[in-house]
Amino acid sequence: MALILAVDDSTTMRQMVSFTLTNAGHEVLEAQNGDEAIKLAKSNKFDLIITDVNMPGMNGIELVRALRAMPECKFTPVLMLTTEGGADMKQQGKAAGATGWIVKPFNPEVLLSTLKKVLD
Amino acid sequence: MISPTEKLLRYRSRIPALLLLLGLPWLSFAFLVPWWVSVACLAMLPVAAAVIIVVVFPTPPATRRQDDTTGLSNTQIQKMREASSGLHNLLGRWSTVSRDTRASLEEAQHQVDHVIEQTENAVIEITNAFLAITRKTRTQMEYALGLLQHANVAEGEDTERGEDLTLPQYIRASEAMLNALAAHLLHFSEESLKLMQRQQNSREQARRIDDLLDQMTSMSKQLGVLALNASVIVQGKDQRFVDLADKVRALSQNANELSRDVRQSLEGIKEQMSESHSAINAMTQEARATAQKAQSEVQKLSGNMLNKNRQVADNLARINSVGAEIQKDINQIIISMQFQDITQQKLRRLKAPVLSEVLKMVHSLSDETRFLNQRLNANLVDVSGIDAATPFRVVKNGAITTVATEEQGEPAPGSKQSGESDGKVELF
Repeated sequence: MALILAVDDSTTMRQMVSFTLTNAGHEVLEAQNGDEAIKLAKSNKFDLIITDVNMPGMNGIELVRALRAMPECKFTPVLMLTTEGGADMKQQGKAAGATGWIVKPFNPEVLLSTLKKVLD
Repeated sequence: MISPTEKLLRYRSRIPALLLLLGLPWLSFAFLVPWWVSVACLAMLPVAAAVIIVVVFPTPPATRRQDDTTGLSNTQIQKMREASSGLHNLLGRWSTVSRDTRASLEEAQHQVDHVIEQTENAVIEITNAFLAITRKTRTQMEYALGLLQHANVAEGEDTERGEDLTLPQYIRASEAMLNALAAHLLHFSEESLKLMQRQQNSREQARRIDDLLDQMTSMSKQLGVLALNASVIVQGKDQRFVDLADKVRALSQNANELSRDVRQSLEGIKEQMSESHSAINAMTQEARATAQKAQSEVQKLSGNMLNKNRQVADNLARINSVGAEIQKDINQIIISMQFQDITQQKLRRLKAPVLSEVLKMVHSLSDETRFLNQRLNANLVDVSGIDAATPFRVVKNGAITTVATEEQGEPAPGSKQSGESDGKVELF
């Protein structure tokens, strides 16, 4: 069982991610923006962070940069879960320090298998 | 368009002639009407002349400006002014249209926001309901699968604690207990048979003892007869021998009586043995029959229970299969439910860069139109150099700024970029 942070401004998406991961036996905390995610990351030791890219305020790429700057999240895997599928955006995510890129809509089975790969 | 005052000023040289023309009919009839009617008509003449000039007379050609240094002829200036007038009207209409368009776009933005909000609320409600249903279904499935797990525990996985026994284990345990009971009954029956055999042996021994007693009795009788004969033969010859023969005969009689007593006791024993033999025999047969029947019933019952258990296992396997299908459906619903976020983001892309860009353009056009109108009121504007690539000029707070067209600026974020990957998941 892993402790996972789900970051998305969409309540529906957060619920879907949380539901999928909770049913798989993981513990999930939710944040609706980058600032909230950073606050939670400071007070918890997450095994994995899943974040959207397009969010009001701090976007997902900026969040990854901010997380990588934090000692406690320097090596925490970060998956980007987004509608963006462009190579440029992926490159930006990779450069920022993201571990992987999943394009919405996600299939729960695919999400869980990706999660397993990343956590293993 | 020129104002009525300007038109009157331009026709001011013709006003006396017009007054004269309008006054002549009045002069002809001035003496026929009362004086106050004549005064009223005289007073109305300038007003009538002004109305006729403004309404009936065509727009007069403008006079040449004092500071005009273009060297154009009056005809050219006149044509340019007509063109300017048309442009003025066109810009006025454009200004109105751009104002309306701006209002429409603002309304569209508002509607898009409203749609996003409404959709999100609806999807959140649907999601909550879906999650509640799914949790309940999952609980049901867990119960069913728990039962299935208990029913399908493989052999050799029996737990030692009674409360953890599965249904097949319970069946097997009951069957073992009943079989053990039947085995005990059979063992009891076999032991009874052995007992009966021993009794038979005892009866045989008793019969032999009986024969021996018969022989002893016979011997005793013969011994008595011999003692009597000896006593008769030696009568009067040897008193000691006679006494001895009498004692032998008395002993023979005693032995005969003892044999009779032993025989009576033996008969009693034989009778009791026969009774117990009959009882044991009946009990043995009954125990055997009961054991055989119990064994048969136990086997039948166990077979039925195992068969029922197999049916339960089959049904639970079907439930498990349905559960897997439900899980697939849930996954599909999860995929489908994400449309709201995707739609919302697409609407935001539409609203933010596209609608805002259009709105900004309309603002620019509106401002530039206003600016052109202002300029046109003072001077002619040379628009020959304006084309599609020329930056829009915007008047804001009295200062003129330019706005880049789409070709000159960054591409819209919503536009699909070339080389976009089709991969859904990519690990770096």
